[in-house]
Amino acid sequence: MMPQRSRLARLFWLLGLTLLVVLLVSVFIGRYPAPYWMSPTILREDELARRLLLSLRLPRVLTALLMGMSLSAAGAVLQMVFRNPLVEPGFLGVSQGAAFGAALSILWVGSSPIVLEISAIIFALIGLMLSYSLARRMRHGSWTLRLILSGIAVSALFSAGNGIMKYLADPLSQLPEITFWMLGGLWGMTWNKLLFISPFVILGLLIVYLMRWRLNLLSLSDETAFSLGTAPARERTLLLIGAVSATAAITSVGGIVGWIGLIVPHIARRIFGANAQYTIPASMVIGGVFTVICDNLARSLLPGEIPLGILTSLIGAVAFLGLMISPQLKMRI
Amino acid sequence: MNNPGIISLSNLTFNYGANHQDAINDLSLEIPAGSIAAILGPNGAGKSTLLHILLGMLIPQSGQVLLDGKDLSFYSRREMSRLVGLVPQIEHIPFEFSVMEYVLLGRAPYLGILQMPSDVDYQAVSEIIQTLKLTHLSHRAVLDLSGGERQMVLLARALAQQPRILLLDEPTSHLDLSNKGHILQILRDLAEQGVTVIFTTHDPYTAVLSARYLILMREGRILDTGPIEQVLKSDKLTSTYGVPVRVVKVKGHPVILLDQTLT
Repeated sequence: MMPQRSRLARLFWLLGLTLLVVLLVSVFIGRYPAPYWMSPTILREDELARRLLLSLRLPRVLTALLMGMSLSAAGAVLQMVFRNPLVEPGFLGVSQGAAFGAALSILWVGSSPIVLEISAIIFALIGLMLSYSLARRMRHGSWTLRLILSGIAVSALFSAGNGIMKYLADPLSQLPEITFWMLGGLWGMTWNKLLFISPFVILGLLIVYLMRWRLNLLSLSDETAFSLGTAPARERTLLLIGAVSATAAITSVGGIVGWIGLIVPHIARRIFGANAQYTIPASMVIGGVFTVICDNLARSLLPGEIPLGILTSLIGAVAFLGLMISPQLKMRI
Repeated sequence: MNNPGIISLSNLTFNYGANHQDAINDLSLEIPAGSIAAILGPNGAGKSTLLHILLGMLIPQSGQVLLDGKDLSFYSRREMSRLVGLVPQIEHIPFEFSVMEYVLLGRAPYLGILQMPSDVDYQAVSEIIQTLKLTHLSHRAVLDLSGGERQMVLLARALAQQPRILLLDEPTSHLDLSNKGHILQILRDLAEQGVTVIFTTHDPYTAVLSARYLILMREGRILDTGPIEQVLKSDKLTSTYGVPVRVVKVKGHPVILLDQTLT
């Protein structure tokens, strides 16, 4: 007997449909020709509207989708692998590490997309390794708490590094680019940039998606995971590399966008239960929808762009507080 | 003759690094298939270490572990996971898996690394849940269960591996008397079906109730091993626990007493 299989299937159809509708509507949202909405009918006569939609809005919406998928999947993987429901890429030095790598590359190596991206991935992995090994060495507190504390400390170190690089940066050519990563946002997204990041993002997401049931086993204690035939260290590392690569690649074009990786897996678990076989795809879709909607607001709400990272922090933090104080909270720490 | 589940240990020695004293010293023992062996000793005696060696997680510095007459190191990880199941002492589960979802994880040895459980696996798990009389719990979260129920669920997960050797770490230490009796009855049933059961316990009475073989441990030393009739003696238990212990027979059954009348 499969448990509530039809209910799960219905929910997934609903999620998929929501995603399609949101994607379709999003390309018509913006500030041209008038604020908020572009009527599809004007595409027939307005050449500028067509080009705007195809070469600016479409790649941006797709990047927002990949961003939401990556951050949420990475959040879910980090939470399960570290057996800690309170972590996300932004709390473990991953996002800040990626931004640091990107800034470093702009300053001293060059800002070609591929170099930037690889530098971001390397430093994101270093950030994660530092957070983990520091947490292992800390003497006081529970594992949940130690991991968060060391993650916050490592994130702060990278943020400080970023701050120093801001001073070293050329104020005209390099500073704006670096500042951009601190706030997070997808303006200036092009097909070209999307093309550069997609291999890493898609490969990372694919690893996580394909190993999603296995992830359940890897969230158990070492001895149990081992007795079930896994190679806990090796398989966890593979999943982390997948999740971190996707996150770092997307951070190299979108900057630090927080809270999505924390809040979305919690929502997914609320709906689908703890089984990662379902919560991984659900997190990806919910994260995608959430980020595309946030980015729509970021680019159309005001005449000037609102940094995406600010919006997701605002909504994510409020939603998280709501989840934390809600009486039927399905989380144990 | 094929005798699945037979375990034989010869001259096993293990330590956690050159500067540590041996956690296990020159242990030799043969445990026939379908029997129950208890590793008995006070807390911190190195009992779990021995379980982890049998699991293949720790590798002994010298000596040999033979399962079915074949050296443990020659088994693949997948073969081992189908042969040996583990019920850990405490399983900290940070997420709200339902009983069904959790027990299903025991099917991993039969699934590829990218494979999802199929109807066959759900079927196998349903049967185990039914046998252990857990059907009414199958959609409850493991975290919400009582200690006794949770222990049964851990056991069900290990049994979903269909192991021929079952290792349990202090399976009854957190349980009340009725749950303790229930678990020990299940272990005896399993042994009758040919599963070799090895469990650790600090409580000699738990060992008496079910085990046919005893391994006495204290501070990383194996004090004595063998059939329970030979090992369960007042003097041996006294040196295991460091307090005077007396074994008396009540209606033919051994009972262990803390011998404080002598002091």
